Amino acid sequence: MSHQPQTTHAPNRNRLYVITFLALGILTMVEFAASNLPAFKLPVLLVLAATKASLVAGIYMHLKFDSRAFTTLVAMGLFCAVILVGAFSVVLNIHFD
Amino acid sequence: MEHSVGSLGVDTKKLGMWTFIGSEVMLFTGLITTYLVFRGKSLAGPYPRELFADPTIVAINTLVLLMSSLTMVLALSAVERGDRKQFFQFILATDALGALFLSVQVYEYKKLIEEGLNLGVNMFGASFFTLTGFHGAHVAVGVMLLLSTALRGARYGFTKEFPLGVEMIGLYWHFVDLVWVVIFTLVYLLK
Repeated sequence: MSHQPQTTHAPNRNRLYVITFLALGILTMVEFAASNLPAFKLPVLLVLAATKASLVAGIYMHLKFDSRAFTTLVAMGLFCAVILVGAFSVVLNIHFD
Repeated sequence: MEHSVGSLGVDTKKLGMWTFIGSEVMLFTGLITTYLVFRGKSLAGPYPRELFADPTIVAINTLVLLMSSLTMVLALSAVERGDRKQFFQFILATDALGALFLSVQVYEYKKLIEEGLNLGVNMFGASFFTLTGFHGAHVAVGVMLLLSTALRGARYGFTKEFPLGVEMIGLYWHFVDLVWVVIFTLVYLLK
């Protein structure tokens, strides 16, 4: 096992990471404000949450830059998740609001 | 320890981590779905609408966790550049933010229990504490993993396999953050 400092030649994306955090912060505040909307609350909040989740997965978890194999793996898990929630929504009549 | 590339052309350890995350997606989907099914089935209060009328503290806690994702990815960036000082600053900041998130969650639990919500009072209470408790346990595990990674870096230095180790802990940490993004919306905002 080497004890020498190791570096890789990964591109420096620190600026992108900070911008992503600012976007996530703004989206959270918009979500917070949108929770009091009289109408269309559900679709607005779901779109905002999905956007935030995509930013975390795409930028921070590097799915945008990494192999497509990882994205496929996550997409399969998400597909099963959506099917599960969708099925329960219909069968058990889940009320979101 | 060498980086091994499998038939998909990707690192097998990283693929293993993503497979684990895929299984965690299913676990949390089950928990979230259970919460959505049961939260409206309580025969007696307290109800979500009464308890989550003002989720300001939770929104601030969400920002804390999002900020910990930023410091985590900056720690990875630092280790890739071989910048020891920045790595330790960012990974310890991530750890501290994770611990802060947990402290606020404990405070929130204390307040909810004082208002009459507990695991046994109704279906909403049972499913709420199960979901957020599982998430909190994941954060607690993450905090310990981050600390052990920092200690490993301090003791053995930036070895050949260290950046990959940091990246894997980072993937776990970001996933925990991502799950909270969903919980925040479905539990606290769509009350």
